[in-house]
Amino acid sequence: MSTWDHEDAELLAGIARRDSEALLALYRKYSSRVFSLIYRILDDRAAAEEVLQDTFYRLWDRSHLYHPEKGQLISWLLTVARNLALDRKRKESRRAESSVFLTGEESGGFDLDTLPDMAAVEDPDLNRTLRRVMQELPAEQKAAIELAYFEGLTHQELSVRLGESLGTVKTRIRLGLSKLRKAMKDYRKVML
Amino acid sequence: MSVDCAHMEEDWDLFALGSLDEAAQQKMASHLQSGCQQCQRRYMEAQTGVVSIASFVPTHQPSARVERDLMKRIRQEERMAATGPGIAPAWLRWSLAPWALAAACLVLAGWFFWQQRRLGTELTTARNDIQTLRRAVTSTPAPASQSAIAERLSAENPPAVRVPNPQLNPAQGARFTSADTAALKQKLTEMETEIANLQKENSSLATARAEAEQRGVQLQSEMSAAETRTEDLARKLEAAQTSSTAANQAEIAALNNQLSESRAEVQRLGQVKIRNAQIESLLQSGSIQQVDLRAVDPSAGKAYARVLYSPQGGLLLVATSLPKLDHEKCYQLWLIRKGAPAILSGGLLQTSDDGRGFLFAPPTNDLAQLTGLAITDEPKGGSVSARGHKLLFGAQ
Repeated sequence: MSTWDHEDAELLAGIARRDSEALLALYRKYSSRVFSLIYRILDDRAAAEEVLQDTFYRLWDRSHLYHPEKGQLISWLLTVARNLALDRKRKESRRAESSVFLTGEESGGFDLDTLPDMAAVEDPDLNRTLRRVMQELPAEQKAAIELAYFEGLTHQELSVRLGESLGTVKTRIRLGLSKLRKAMKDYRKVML
Repeated sequence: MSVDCAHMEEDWDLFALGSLDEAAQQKMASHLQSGCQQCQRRYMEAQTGVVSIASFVPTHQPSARVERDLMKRIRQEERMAATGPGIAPAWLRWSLAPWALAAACLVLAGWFFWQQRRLGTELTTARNDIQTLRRAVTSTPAPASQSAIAERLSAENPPAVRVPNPQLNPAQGARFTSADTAALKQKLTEMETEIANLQKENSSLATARAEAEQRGVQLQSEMSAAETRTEDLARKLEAAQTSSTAANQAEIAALNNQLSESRAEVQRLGQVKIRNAQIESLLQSGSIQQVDLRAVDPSAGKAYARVLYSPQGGLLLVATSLPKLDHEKCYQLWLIRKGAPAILSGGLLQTSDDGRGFLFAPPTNDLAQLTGLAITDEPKGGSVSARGHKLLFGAQ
């Protein structure tokens, strides 16, 4: 599913040995991408920097929760960062909620922490393709996806915000994400 | 997919986004864990689409401070784990008899007390050393290599790294224990990290300086072009006015407009040039301090400001997300300092409609004694003493 990054694996092993230089190397490698996402969600540089620090501290403190076979480290970092950023955003708007994902608890059966391929982040051509697809999405689909992903709105909140029924909101998100997935699949077919 | 989960088909995207209500989210999570492979595949597909959204975000760089704070946090944790009374392991907490635990605590308390005293003394020494290094490095005009800094330090401050006082170990004369050596090594590592961080900051400042200088050259060239254009227009206008006829009235009006625009542009560029020169001068002054001001009042919303200052170079403030004030009010900066008066006006912020604020204050000795900064809302024109709401605050 994902490409095994030997450098990351070595650095993670270093973190397990409590080698702070290993964390520093991973921070320097991924902090910009992780920060960009947090900053997009919070729109507050100071708060985003605090969440960035917390994200990498979590990597230091709970690196055992990340398993390379489940997916790429950047996917894990981005997922943790998004959850922390949305939690903070919710707390700030006095809507404390806990994230369902990445609670750190081992679960039986299917592992909810299994991570998707983040090739789009690594591959600039795929990134461009997806960006174009996103730009070409109908405005209402794009808005629904962005509000759900960056604002962390539930489908009910989306329904209120957009003035549409729950069914319409779900359809918009499903159609938009389905186009993104199709673009990724088509890109891979061409590349193969 | 079973009949039971067919109704979930449409919700996997929302589940992957975390946008379902908590009950539905839990229900689907339980279903995934029950082993429905088709739904697991469907969820993974949804996740792929969702996480790819992160790749559309424009790139931003965090400040160097985050890296520094993160490493500091980790080293503090390491030190606590090495020397502090951390959480005892489970076997110690639960399996030892209470008397054994009490005895161990007594011994540990005595040892920690002794260690704390010893480390306290060493920490003070290390802090002094780091302060010396910090002053030495920040006063370096351009990034220098670590060895160059070390050479300079050894010339300026021969005992930059102090060895433990032999009198501390009277029983061993002037010989160092292995603990002393380890502590010294640790201090040295920390100081080297500190030097590296300071060098990095110095390097960023040097880049900023270079950019400011380059901007200054560009501005000069733009300004010369605008001045030439203005002079040219003025000449054309004069020529048109001297041969004024009905036919060239329209041309005169057009030239007048162009001349006004051109003069406004020259004026704007002049202001930008002054601002750039101020920033350039501050960046070149050395020993720059930074203070971040954060909102301390709900009405300040997400407002944030960063201040760079040095007593020799002045003070530069850049703010973002400032809420729009009532027309009769303005933002005013206050310098909080040691000595009397404890609070002084730092000046009024120039603000723009997009919530940005800017202030440059000329060099003053008051900046040498700064302990904090605050921004309040004051009546238009500013106040002699702070009376408005304290909206942002940052401590040195």
